Amino acid sequence: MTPAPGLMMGWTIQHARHAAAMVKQDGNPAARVYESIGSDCFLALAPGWLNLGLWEGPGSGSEAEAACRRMVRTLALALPAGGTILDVGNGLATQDPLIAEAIRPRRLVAVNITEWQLAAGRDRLREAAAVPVAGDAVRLPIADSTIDGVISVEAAFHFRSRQAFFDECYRVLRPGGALSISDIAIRRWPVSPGEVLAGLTQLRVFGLQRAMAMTPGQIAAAAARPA
Amino acid sequence: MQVTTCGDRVIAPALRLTAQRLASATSAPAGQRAAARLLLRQVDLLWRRRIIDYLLLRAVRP
Repeated sequence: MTPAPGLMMGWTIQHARHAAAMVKQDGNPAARVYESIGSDCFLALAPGWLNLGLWEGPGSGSEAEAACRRMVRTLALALPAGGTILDVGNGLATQDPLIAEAIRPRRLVAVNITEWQLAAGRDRLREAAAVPVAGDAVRLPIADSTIDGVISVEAAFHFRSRQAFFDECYRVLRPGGALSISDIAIRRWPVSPGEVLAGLTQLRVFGLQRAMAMTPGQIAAAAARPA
Repeated sequence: MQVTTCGDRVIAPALRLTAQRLASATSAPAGQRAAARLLLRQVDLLWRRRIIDYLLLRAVRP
């Protein structure tokens, strides 16, 4: 589902829903965000890519797609090759063919709570021979100890709880299995009025709970502590 | 467990390119451009003041 044609001055129903969700979040605020962004956002760093990229240069248009691909490839190569891999929060599935190419999984499963993204990415999922699964990162519809690697690219801050997600990873991973994620963390809390306003606005715009603002140390501690 | 912070290689370049894109996105609706400019300024503030960062984490289940 791509956003409907602009209804009023470029604002669509999806934008209106996103704005409403900033006032009162529903059960899946991240879905409102990405419905609003759609599959063809004018600010996307590279067509079809939703991650911020891992850059070698200062940030040029000519490097953009390579940077987005480098982010995914770097995370994927931290996982065992040839295994059963779970991609949690896979966006528009642009990353899944690259994951498949990088580590040749025996089976690649893409989990996404946002069903329209799974539908929008169906061609890329097919290209990656990935199985789409509608599901929640904190309640993975996956059996215990069946997964060799879990990858999640710039999605964990959207999950309802990082601890619950890490606990689920611990549950579904086989002993020796690997988790490889990219995430956004805070270094300190905003202090000045401008910082506080910026922080609170970003939380609301991107449908995030305040509890998801965690430092790198807190995120690492959560990942290291099984349920 | 390996945790690497890499905001300099992720957030800073992304902000730079997004600002360039926004400056040249003259065909996008004015309201969306205005909202994007505001949000970009805020993220830039949070980055420059070292409030946000980006991390890569790898962990192995025992």
